[in-house]
Amino acid sequence: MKWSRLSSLDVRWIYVVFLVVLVIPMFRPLGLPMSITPEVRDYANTIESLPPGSVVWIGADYSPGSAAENNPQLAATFRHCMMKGHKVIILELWEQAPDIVRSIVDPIAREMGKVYGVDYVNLGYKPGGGVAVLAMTRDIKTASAGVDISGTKLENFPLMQQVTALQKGQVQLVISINTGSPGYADYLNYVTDPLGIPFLSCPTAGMLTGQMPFYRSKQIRGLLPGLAGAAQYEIWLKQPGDACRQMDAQSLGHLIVLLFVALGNIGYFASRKEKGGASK
Amino acid sequence: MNAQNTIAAVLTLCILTIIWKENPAFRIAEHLMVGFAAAHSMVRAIDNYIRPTLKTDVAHEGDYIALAFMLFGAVMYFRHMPRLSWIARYPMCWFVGYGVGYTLAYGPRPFIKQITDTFIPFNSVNNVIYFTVTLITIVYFFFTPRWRDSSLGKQIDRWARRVMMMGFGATFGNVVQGRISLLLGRLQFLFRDWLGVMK
Amino acid sequence: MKRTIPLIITSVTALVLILSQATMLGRKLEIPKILDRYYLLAQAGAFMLGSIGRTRLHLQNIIRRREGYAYSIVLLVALWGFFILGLFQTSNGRVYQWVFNATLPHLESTTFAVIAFYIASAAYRAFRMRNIDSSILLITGALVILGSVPIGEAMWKALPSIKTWIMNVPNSAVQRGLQICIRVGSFAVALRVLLALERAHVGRGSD
Repeated sequence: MKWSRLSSLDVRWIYVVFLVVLVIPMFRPLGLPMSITPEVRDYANTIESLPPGSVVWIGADYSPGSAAENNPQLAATFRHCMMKGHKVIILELWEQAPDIVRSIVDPIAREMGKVYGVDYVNLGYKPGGGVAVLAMTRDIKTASAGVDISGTKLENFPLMQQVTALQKGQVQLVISINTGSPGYADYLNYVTDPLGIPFLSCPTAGMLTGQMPFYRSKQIRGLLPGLAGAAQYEIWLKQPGDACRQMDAQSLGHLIVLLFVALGNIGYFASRKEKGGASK
Repeated sequence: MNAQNTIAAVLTLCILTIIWKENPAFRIAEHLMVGFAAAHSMVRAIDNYIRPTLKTDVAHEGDYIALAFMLFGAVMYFRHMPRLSWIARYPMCWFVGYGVGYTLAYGPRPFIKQITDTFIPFNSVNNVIYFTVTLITIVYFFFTPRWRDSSLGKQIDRWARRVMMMGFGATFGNVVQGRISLLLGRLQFLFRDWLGVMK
Repeated sequence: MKRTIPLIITSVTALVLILSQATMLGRKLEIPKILDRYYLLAQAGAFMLGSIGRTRLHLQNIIRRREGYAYSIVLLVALWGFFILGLFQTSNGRVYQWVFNATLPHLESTTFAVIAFYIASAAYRAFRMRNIDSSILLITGALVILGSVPIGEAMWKALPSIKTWIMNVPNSAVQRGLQICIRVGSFAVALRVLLALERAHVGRGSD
């Protein structure tokens, strides 16, 4: 067998193998155990340690493009907050986020018997990115045009009568579920760092590396990176959900990508050897 | 298998066909996406911000300054008129000034915390590695000093490149994880929500 | 008039915001409290900017019968049809929500999901151990890839700890170094804009 041929396979075979390897464990799960990383543990413990009734601000700043990663993070976080009796205010700085967020949080709230306006409020999309967040620290009503996602006036909600600004004392924790800008950096620069409010972040896996320095300096107290982070959080909560279900397929997907790297390199070194031999 | 999911599944498959080759089904779906996304952005802006402002602040409370600033923002549309495009510079420059102002007013605080946090006690190997790696990464981007051409400068460059490769490798590993997650989300939709063949 | 006044607007706005944060008097006056609202309103006023630009481009495609102009028709019908529906029904309307849920989230998430295939192909075709640098990248990437998933843990118990160490020590240090450099760069650019030394945002042309 000529090993050098390994470097020139039709790439569509790669796609087919990749797809098959991902699909099989979705039907036949392997049930592999998973440990919880320190950053996820810190994330869960921060929410857990808040006294019941604390106000948690969730910045859900993503679009359908990353919903497969961010939705399980949001679902687990919201569920945990509701289980602990916290109040949640959600703001979206991405136009496409409100509808996805609503489809996640409303069923969970219904299932847990929570009341909209009392236990949680979804402010919907507000334009302006970071400046909108900064304006929320001064007056939520002015910054949000005084309405929630459905156009209902904020003064109708008991929760919004209690919380008038994104300030320390009124909000006990800020969480950013993010996939880009606007997102975690705006909360870090304008809210949590200057005001000293504890901050948690749920980045997509690809954004995790850039946020690690802030985790180390405790500017971010805990992280929930991508689908794997959400799966670990679900295990921590003892509420396995969508993220946990996908981790076996994720495992095999990772393995096959490494196999492709290995195949490509075997072919590369073999063809280099052949060329070297031919030139002699 | 309801109609809504079927439409969604067909559109999903249309987009997925691009991995085979470029084709009309993909291009139609791609153009639909751009159209729907732009429309939805406008509708959300109207519903969640513009309409309530016009209804309450302007119509009810007579806050015409609010209206004036909205119109000032709308001046940006002059960008699309070549002869009058200079008018759009006014709101544009205001926005840029805002960005600059807040970058300089709020940016230093988290940044300084990052710097002070780098000066950690050398009481563990990890701390020594952390400090050294941060330092040589920063030094790598100092382009002007003369000592860069010395053998020490070249050594620092070489090691900085290597440690940065570790950082990029970590990013690559995480990106792989992220992208697979997105594909799994789509497969889950097709097999579970649409076809109903998966739990 | 065409360039000088806009440049003055930039510098004055930036200065006002800096002083309002950096000085006692500025904090007392709370100018940003008023200005921020106007900024948000102005931003909202420009909400159609992207759509108008897109419409211009695609209308030209249609008028000039450029290759693939039929797709431009699809785009414009989707854009303005959906917009008009939303305008009359609001984004919470039944038909609007039905159309939204059947299309946009799926189209967009699949577009991003497709990249997984390209990553698989890049893993096979591009990631070669050509020299020490690329080998370090590959080995670190492989350790992080395996350490992030349960199968890695099943293969070798130490993998998650190695991955955690890579993420927390060398990766975090590199990212911090990069971010410090980026921040210094962004402050320098911001200062240049404030001092009107950087004028790219006003474009070219006479005053």
